[in-house]
Amino acid sequence: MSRLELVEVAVHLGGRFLVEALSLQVGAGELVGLIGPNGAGKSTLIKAIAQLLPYRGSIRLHGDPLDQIPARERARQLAYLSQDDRVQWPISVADLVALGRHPYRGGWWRGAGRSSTEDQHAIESAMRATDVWSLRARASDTLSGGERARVRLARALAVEAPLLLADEPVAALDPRHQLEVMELLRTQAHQGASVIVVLHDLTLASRFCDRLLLLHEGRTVASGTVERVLSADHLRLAYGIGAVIGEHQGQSYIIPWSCESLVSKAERC
Amino acid sequence: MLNLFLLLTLALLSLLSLGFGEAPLSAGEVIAGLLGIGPETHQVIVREIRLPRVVLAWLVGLSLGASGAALQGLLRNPLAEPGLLGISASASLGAVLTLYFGLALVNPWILPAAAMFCALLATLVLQALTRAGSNNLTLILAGVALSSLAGALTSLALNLAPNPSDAQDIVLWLLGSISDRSFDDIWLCLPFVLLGLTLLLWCAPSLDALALGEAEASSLGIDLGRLRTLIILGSALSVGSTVAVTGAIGFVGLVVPHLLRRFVGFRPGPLLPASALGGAVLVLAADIALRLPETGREPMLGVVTALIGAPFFLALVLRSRRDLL
Repeated sequence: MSRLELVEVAVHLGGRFLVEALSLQVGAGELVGLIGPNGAGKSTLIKAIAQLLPYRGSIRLHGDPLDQIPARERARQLAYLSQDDRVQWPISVADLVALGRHPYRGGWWRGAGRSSTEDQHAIESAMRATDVWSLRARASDTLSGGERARVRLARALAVEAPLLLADEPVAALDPRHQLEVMELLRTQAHQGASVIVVLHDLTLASRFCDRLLLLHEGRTVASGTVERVLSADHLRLAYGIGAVIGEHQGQSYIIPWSCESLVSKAERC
Repeated sequence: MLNLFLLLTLALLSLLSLGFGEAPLSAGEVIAGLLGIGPETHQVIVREIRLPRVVLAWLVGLSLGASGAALQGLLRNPLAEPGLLGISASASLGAVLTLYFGLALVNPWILPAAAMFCALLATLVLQALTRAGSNNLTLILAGVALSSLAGALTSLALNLAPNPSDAQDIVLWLLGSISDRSFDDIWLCLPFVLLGLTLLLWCAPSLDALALGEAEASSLGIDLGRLRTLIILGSALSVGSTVAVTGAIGFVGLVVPHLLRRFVGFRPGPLLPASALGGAVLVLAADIALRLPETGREPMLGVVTALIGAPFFLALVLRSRRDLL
């Protein structure tokens, strides 16, 4: 049985469907990339899975409908990393990462009191994995964009949830940090987590993901293995681009090359 | 550590305030008076004349400090304070209306009751306006609208006041004061203040996660709708009921969280109890300061807190602008 199962999920907001008739299964240890042009519904879908938006259809985790799992328990099962990277107060990096343990805190002083050794362990290993341990005393407003992205990822990893949802975690990063973060997500999957990641970089998607879901206007254009999804036709259909698809060390790389006329929804049908 | 320091300061200032006045008492005499030993006159002065003022300063400060910290954390906005949501303004309006219609003279309980009623009404309106698909921006905008409306109606009452002495009463009440209050006033607002503070403190631990934004905070299991309701209600109860007894006292809710934020590592959760204590310290200190000059007429507390608060606020704005450059 898949860990996460979406059946006919639709998100309807402001009089139109942002995501429509979408089905997806993600198993344990899988890294699934969510790709598609701006406005395709990637973030919407990931928010619906994180129960941040109302949706129709069913989203099940371990066979249980996600919307019926109590919020606190759900927060331990599912870590969500949003696209918005602002941190409101100049909280220290260590305190920020520790927020990932909020769903585990008991008692009245949840989230602010002493943490268990288990919490400490989770926080430290998340910080070491993302290479932010040396930044732990820094205030979050003194971090560079790349550092902040890694700190926020550490916060999400500290939840130690079996399902990790990351919305464009590499958007603000330089090439080296992009690779590092993707390798980190890869490692999380190797260790048994199910990871869904929204990406714009098609080469990263091709290199690191087990499977891809290509969206366009809220609908699935293609879903499955990297080779199947990242074809020239699919890219033209979804993004309206002509791409150079090459191969290096047995893996394909994609270079967006030219703008093609966009194929409208009507023509596709 | 910080809370302990604030508590100690609060205790010292309380002793100072109890000893201060036309008949100066030493710390020993104050404590003896409080415990009910020593000369009868000292007991009366300390327990019946000066203690209500001190207790009221605590209640006002605790309410304003806690609400300010809670609202700034909830709205992720360093400018948020109880006045922003229109709760103070609505409570003021309720009180002003009883003064305008002369009802305050009929029964001393009518004024605070009307103020609390209006604060509650404002809370219900806020809740209704922000219930459906609400977010924090809606809450702020609704609060600003409510605040302006209550302010305009208060001005209208002043404008149409039938005779100058009514207008004078209204103005004096609007300035905010904790002098000449009795334990009757305290019993009136105490239950609501305690209930409000309990709600706010209950919310404190959830505020930290809001630093990550509303979406990630919900993904950590925080029910934002419930948090919003509890904080609005807690602020309305505590601030509304103290405004009902003391009149409007501004800037404390805005300033105190900023003063203390750095000492709690900028975390909104631990800031809340510290800010409550800090609010009490500030109000008590301001109340002692305004009695220092021997001019015969003491300035009103609301005026003094604004005099301290406004320059501080300007300095804060200037500093944050420099940070951006």
